[in-house]
Amino acid sequence: MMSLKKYGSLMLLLFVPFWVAGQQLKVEIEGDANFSNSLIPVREAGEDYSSTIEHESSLYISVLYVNYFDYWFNPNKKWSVYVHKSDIEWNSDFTIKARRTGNGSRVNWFAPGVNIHDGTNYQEISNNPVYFFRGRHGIAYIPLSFQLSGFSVTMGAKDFETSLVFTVYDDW
Amino acid sequence: MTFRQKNVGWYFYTMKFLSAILLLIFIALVPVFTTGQERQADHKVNIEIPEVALLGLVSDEASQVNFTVTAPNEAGSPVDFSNASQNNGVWINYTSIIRSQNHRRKVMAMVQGEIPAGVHLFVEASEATGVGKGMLGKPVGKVALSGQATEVISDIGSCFTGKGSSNGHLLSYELEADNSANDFVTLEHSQTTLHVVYTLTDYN
Repeated sequence: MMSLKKYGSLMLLLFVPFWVAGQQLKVEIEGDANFSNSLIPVREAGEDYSSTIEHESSLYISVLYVNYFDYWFNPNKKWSVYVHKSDIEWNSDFTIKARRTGNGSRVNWFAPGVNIHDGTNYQEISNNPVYFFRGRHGIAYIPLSFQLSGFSVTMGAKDFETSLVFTVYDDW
Repeated sequence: MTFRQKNVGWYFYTMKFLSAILLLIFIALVPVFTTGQERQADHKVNIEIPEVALLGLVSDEASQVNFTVTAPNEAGSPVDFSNASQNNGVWINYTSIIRSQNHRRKVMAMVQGEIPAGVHLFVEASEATGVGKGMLGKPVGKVALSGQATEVISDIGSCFTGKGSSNGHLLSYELEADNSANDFVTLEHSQTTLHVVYTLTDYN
């Protein structure tokens, strides 16, 4: 009887970290977001670059549970994704916008169906986090598209780079 | 059971118990380790603007400039060069993208063909006008054209003039008698066609 209690407590203790871990979500990004190939070259003397380029990028974002057991025990977790940029070598005349071009896919065969909202219209990404989209449970490979505008030949030949930061928050 | 057999049994059970505890601790820590994942992910977005140097000549009319020097009406009068100044609406358009902020480019002009003896051909670019932006070039002024490249517009940075006529620099040509020579001695009746070639080039 004593040993049953002991092992019961031990098992309970074992599940504490799983439960704690169950509150955790992570965000992963895969793909490429290089606008250089989308830049339409200046073909005629006297021209400037066309001011806006759209990049149907092959960039995908996944919101996943840190702990795999949550897909069973805590499948309906709500979350929201915020986005901001952190400039490395950037020009203040640039405007970068992002939108979600698809719903993504289920993380695995026993995960519930995809439940995702907002973020389908272009919205500007600034240096302060802004709400992007929200969803429930893990969703993999949500495709994103970007639009870059405001560049000109007057900026000179240069490599511009910024870092897009996606943050996932619990609940919405 | 001997003392030695008892000791071995105790050792065996202790090790088994410790192994079980260690395994449990390991299992318990696995999710704790996995929670170290980031709730934030970042991705680089980049764009490379390359160096560009494009120059073009545009005109609403024919880009050909014709000079006809008027013959004197009276014996003893000089050949009249007063009408030998033409602005045929030829504009220079350019797009220039430079990597270094301090580097500059220039527009050079040179003649292909032989300028008739006894005359000089001059060109002058106007100040840049139109929709252009950036570090547009500065006209050098009236310069004599020859077979050697001559600077016509200087100090061009990263800029664009705009495309088409009324954008960029308007070119004016002028034909003058060579006063330094023996004037009429070298002049002869002829019809000559010349090509003026413009190049957008870097300062060395």
